[in-house]
Amino acid sequence: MGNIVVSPHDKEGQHHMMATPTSNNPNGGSAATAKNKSEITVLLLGAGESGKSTLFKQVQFFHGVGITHDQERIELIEIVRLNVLENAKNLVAATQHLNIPIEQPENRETAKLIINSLNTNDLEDPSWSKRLYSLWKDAGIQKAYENREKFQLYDSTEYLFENLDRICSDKYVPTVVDVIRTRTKTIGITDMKFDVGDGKQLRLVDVGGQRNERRKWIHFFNTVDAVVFLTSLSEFDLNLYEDNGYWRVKESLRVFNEVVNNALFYKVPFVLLFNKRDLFEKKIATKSFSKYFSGFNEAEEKNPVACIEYMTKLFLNEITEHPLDTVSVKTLSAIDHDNSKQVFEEVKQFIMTQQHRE
Amino acid sequence: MFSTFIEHNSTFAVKVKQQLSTLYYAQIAFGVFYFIISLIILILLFAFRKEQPISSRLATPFMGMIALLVESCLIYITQRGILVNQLKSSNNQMWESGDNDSNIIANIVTIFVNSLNLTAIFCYVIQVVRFELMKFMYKLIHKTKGNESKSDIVLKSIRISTSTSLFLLLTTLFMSFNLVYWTIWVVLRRINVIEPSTYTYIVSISYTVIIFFLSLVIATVLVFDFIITIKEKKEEKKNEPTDSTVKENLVKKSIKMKNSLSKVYDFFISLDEPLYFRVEMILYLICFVFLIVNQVIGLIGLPYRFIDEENYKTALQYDVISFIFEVLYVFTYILVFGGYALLILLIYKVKIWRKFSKNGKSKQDDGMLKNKELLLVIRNEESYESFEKFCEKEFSLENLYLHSILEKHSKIVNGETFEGLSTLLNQIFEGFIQSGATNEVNIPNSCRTKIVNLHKKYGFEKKDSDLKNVDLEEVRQAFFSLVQQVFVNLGDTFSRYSLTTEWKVFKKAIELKEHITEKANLY
Repeated sequence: MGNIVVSPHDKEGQHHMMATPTSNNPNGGSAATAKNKSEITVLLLGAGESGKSTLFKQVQFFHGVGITHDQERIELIEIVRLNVLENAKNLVAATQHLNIPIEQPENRETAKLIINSLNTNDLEDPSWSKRLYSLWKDAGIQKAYENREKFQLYDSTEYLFENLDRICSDKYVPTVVDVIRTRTKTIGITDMKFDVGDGKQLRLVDVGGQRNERRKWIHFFNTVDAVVFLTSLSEFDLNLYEDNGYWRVKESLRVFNEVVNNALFYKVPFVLLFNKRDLFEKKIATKSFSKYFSGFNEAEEKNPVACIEYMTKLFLNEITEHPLDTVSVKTLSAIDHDNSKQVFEEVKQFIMTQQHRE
Repeated sequence: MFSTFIEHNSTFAVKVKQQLSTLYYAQIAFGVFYFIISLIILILLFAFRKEQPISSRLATPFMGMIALLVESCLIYITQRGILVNQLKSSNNQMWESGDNDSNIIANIVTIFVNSLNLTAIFCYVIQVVRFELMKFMYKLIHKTKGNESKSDIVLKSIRISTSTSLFLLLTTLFMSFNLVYWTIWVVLRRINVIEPSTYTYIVSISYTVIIFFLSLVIATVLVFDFIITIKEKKEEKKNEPTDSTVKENLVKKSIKMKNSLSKVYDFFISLDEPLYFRVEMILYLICFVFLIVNQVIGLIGLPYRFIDEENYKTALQYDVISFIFEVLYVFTYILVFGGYALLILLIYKVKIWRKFSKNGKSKQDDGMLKNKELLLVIRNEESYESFEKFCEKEFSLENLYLHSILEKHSKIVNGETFEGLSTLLNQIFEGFIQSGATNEVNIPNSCRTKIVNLHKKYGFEKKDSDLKNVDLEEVRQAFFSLVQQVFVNLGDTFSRYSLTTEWKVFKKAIELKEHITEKANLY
């Protein structure tokens, strides 16, 4: 999982990429001025569920702030349990929608309770661990899970159901991994700061990715020194959370286009991170990739490198107003601590180098 | 009551025997009525002693009602019975012994009932002061602006001043002082060291003076309460347009123009729920005014009692006027000492019963997310303000405002009524749901679709009268889903707000409040 070397010769539509508008760049000097600034603002952007907050939490963790502290994780108990409930609810709803019966009568009873009355407080009772696990293992639910591209379900589902014995206890304190694996829909904009040496601080800004949240990004566009754009590799078979009839890849490309070509980011170092590589590799082993991309060679569809290269081209083709030498592309598995640490370090180095170059 | 303090001398009552016995009969009748009422209230208080707002009143209403029960039984029924009985007899000796018996009863009543009554009022004073302190504790804490050491000083002083041991100590001291004080005067009277009229003057005036001072404290608390509320309303107005486009356009729009009567009602109720001490304090002051009039008129008539038969007639007229105020006093007294709290409880019970009979699905209303702390934050004025600022900083105000609107229209949201449904749907759809809305909220497609469908059916320019066959269950389901999602969104912001110093200080205040209320049976 390393860098993908972006060379202008690899890509289609070079004429777009080479275009470098300067006249309509009202704040083009932001990167230059950033060179002397003591604070470097890095924006984590991307559509919903691309993994911005997961990376943000990982960065917190390896800088010993935020979720590293027990007290901060205790505050997230509700969110972890809400994830369990939402996943369970979505799975039960999916069995109805997809017409897949829940097989065991006791699981059907549990399903009824989940839909009608179960709340996060109830999960303090350890008996729910067995009941929910039994439901999770029900053949009907498992079949619905196999068809999860047809409805909205968090990536964390399997992990959370496998850890119910810990979560359903009144003594439960989320582990760092629990927090990282839990899906948190970020609302608004939040940030963290940490030292990066040379008396400089890096301010990492995390944002919500859904359509309504993206309108808030603009508040930070003027002060930005670098952009890290995340997109999920494993979303090729999924539709949007906020609009069920819209393909996620199309949305991601559209957002990427708007951001990368924004005049305000013209000289700003830009990193494109293809996230969820782990899930993607698992997914293409069982699902057809070429079914979703007519231009892709079907024979290569089980080869993750070929698939990722194709995706890279697709995204880079969107670049029309940004100098390519300030763009870096990488793959990432944000739930993997070591990988996140390594990739983020590279991202940091890239940004710093770009700034020195300026 | 003034009737209790009179030293009876029936020697001059011969000429007004008829009128006097009529007054006594009226007093006996009222006495029976007071007895029954106070007994019923006492039983009800006992039955609902663990429920609010009764339990927040501690022993006060019990003491008050026992005092009334004893007073009505001994003074109005027994003593007046003896006096009526002697009036019927023509034997002067019997009159004297009757006077003596009745006076001894009145003396015993004076010692015990005065002590009980005054201690009940004293407890009431402590309670309202304590409640007022707690009510504005958040404001004190809030003023420390998250400064932990400052807030610790505030918390410590509140903890000491509202401690149970201090409460018990003060009450016991006051009760003992009362028992000794009234016994001294009764003994002095009985061994004829002081004249009957002197005794009545001393007892009546000292009783009134003690009550006057206690009332003064209550009045001060009430005035303080009003000043703070007015100040807050002004501050609220001043601070409102934190985000003028959002708040003014959306939240203010949702508040219907209210008539002045409901504004007055709102003012009384604001910050007073759910314990309603404020209204009770006003009732207490009315009760106090009646008592003063009762005592003053009684005292004015007192000299005529001991001169001759003609003057006794004048005394009797004063007695009648004084008695009318005594009746008014007792009625307000009953309200202050338990009656009003029971009425509030009754209203609550009826409301809950109505809600249940209309909609049995109460469990689902609670929703999936049980974040009590978040609810606490958004339902408390001070923390709401601080949370609002945090949301503003994080660009997530839209969820807080939508939540406020949904809470304000809880009857429509819970599917209890469709009055105003169309307006609410238009407001929510245009402001928060439709794609590109100024304050579009982040909700899943399934939830959005439900609200959009609801808006298509019942929204647009429809009036309430145009809405027919509204499927209240569909309305409830759609809003339930929206409320949940907004709450989930707020939960994300809260997960970061909960790490701020402001929240930590506020949480300390909550913990202290829980500690105090546990001891004081408040909430």
